[in-house]
Amino acid sequence: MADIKISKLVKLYDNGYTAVKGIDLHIRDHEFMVLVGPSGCGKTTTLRMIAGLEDISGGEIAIGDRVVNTVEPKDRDIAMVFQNYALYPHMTVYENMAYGLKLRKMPKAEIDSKVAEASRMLSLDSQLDKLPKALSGGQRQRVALGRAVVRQPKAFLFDEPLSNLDAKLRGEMRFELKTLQARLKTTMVYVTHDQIEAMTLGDRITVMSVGLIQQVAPPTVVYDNPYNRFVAAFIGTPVMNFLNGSLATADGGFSFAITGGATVALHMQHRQRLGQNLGAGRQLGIRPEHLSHAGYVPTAPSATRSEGKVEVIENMGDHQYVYLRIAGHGEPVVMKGSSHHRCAVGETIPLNFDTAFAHVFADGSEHAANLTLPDGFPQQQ
Amino acid sequence: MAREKPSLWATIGSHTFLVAFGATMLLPFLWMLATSFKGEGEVFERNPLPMATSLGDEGTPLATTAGAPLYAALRQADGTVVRGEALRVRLGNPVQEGSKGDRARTPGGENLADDLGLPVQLGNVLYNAKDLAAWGGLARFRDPRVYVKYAEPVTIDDAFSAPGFDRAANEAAAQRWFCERPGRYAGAWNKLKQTRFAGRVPLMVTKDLGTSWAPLSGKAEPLNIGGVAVPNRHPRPLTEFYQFKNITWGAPGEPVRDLTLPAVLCQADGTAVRFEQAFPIFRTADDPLKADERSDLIAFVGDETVARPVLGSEVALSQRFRLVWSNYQTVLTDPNVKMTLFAWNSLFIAVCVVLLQVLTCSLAAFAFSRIEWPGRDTIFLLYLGTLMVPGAVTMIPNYLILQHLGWLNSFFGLIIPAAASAYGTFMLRQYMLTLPKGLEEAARIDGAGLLRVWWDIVLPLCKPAIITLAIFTFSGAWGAFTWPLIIAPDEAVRVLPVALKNFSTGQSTAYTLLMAASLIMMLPMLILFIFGQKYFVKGIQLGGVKG
Repeated sequence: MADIKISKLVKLYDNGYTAVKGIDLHIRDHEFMVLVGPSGCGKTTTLRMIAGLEDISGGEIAIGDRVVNTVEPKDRDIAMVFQNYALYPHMTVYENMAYGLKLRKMPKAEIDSKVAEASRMLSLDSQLDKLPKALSGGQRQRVALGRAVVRQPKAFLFDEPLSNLDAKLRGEMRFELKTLQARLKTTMVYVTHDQIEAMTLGDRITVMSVGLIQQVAPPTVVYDNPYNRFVAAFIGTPVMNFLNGSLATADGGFSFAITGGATVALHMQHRQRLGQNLGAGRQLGIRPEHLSHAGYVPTAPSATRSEGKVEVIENMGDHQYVYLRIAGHGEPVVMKGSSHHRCAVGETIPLNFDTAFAHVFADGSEHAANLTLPDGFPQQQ
Repeated sequence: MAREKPSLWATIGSHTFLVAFGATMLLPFLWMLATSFKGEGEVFERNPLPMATSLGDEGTPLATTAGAPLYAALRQADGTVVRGEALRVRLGNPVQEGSKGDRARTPGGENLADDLGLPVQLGNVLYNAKDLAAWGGLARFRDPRVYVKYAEPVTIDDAFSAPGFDRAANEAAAQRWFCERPGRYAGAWNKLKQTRFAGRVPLMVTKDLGTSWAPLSGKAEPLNIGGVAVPNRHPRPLTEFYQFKNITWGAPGEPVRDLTLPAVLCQADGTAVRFEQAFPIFRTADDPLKADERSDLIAFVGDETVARPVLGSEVALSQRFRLVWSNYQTVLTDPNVKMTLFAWNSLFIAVCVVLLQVLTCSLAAFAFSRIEWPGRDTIFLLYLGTLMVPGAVTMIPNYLILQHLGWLNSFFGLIIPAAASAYGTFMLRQYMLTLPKGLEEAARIDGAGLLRVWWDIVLPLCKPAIITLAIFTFSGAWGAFTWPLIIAPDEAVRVLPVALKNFSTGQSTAYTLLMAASLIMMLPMLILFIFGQKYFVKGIQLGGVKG
């Protein structure tokens, strides 16, 4: 049981590539921290530096009270679950799980009881004598989990552990991980590129990009209050819609004039930064679920309307995604709405913007600041 | 697009070609196998399989061309010659193989001559030179398939005393022959006469001794022995021919078959038949006797187990398949061959080399593939570069190093230089590169140090490559010849391939034994290949394709 403190961590590869550019992060004790980001954002490198599999080029990592920069992986008292399971193919399930304990010279009886306990927890009891190749993907992943669990380490590190599983198994394993964490109450660091895993598993999420931390916050905060345009675009499926336009004051509030479209009134609570950034070149960010077919929402104020031409409809049964073309925008806009809100391809429909949940970004650049956050909104919370 | 199915004829043709090619590759091996089961005399015969050659059956009386049996001639007190027993073909023991200078021996292996080359007494029988002539002695000739064998009872001694035979002249000639010889032959005559022959005439061939012992081939008049004119082709003392000490059957350079044995034999009706040719005139199916051709012959077919002296004619040469297992027996049990010692030496060395090489190569490969250290790949390339240095180049420096270390003629010298190899390192490294890095990382997080990772994770996973390396190394160490020959010639540390050379002397090679020993030596490799075939293939793939 320990927290992990990362300060000014840098990873510079021999070929000159800087994978991690000086990040600070405090992973609390008992916390399930998810590092999420696109490929090459440095999340795995960070995890591997915590594990000790990569040298630290700068900064420091402390597990508990101990700075572990020069500590061998085996002495860091952490356990890691790998993407490809990394089960020892020549050892049985039991031997796989017992290997770490054996190396620690634990008495055989104790090893047996720990492996038995872990395998019961992961329902692997009947598989103990099998070789990994005889197991299914989910079972292998559970063995990898079990191998980590029996050690009772200070922290668990997960390196995209579910990405090799199919969607259904992934859902089951997410559930198991969640219950496991509830039971073990151990610090867990979980790397994934899948934002659904990040949202569902994490106590907090660390969103990374280009070797830097973009935001650290509980999942709902990250979703509702993305620190910058990158976080807003990365979290959420389908991705947030970004519309170019200009910001202006109107009626004591603000309005956003969408390029080539209507002007929508914004209902924003935090106006200070908005007020400082009036003008063109801004981007309005709005999630698909905050767009709706105005025809079915007669009560919506007309000030928050625009219109778009339906290009593609994806019906998911309970809801549907409607891809709309708004004149003057390259990318289609996605609207998530009830599948009962009928519309037809080619039809031009009125759009209702639920602007209470809209965000205004300083510009269209990847890491543009979110102007709708209050001043002093912490990047890490 | 699916490939067009080849036509039937193309299939048959290509298969035939491949099978024929494969069979051709097998031929040397089959030759080895067949030779290892052959008798000494038949190595270079035309028969591909081990065949026993025989003439007629045992106990069959010898016959003249006309079919009449041949009898030994016996001289009675009144000087008349009567016939004795019929001459029978008799099976005998193989001739003791020897080279020039070996003693002539009886079938039982007893010496027939003393140090001077003079006949000796065996049991109750005093063998004189003429007996030896009839016996043929027992020695091997230039023609390896011809042996002189034992036939009885050819008592031709008396024939020399037959009317018309100038005993005194012969005796004098023999005496002179002995006395004229330099060195140890001088004076031998008296000894011979007094101690061995008790006054009997030991030597005789010539009629006209004259003053010279020069060959009278073609000029000499026939001898009249027992009323039979015997062509006197080579008027020499038999002693010279039966000079066992320096065995030359016939004068040096002279074909053995030119020898003439002037003996007399009786036919059933009491008339004597000519008996002129002592040595190999047996005919094969390729060369049958012609209708009007006479050949009262003594012919011998050599074979280790079935050897038959033949006096007579028209004895068919027959062959039958048989395996001479005694080659293997000799190789394995003969105390002079010491096969077991050399096999243990070879095995010990090969096992040590395999173990050491697996150890060193896997450690080196581990360092070259799984550990990051500065200059690693450069050093690996340099290391790999040593593969391009021919072994012959390093032989002398290595020898000098070993000499300096005092490891010549020791197991150290045979084992240590082979304890590491660039090839093995390369092969294992290539294999280790294919192992997922995650396993090693998982082990390191599980608490394993580098050596633990090597021993617990990498080695078990490299099993196929290691077995391949072990097989290759074993076969290399087992078959190594040049290096052991150079640095460890001593018998105590000699290895099998070097020991095989013992079967070959400057003059001749015992091919049957050599092949038997070679096959015994091949056996472990054959077994290894049969069980490790897939690893051989894998080794070729690992060493050849990848990298």
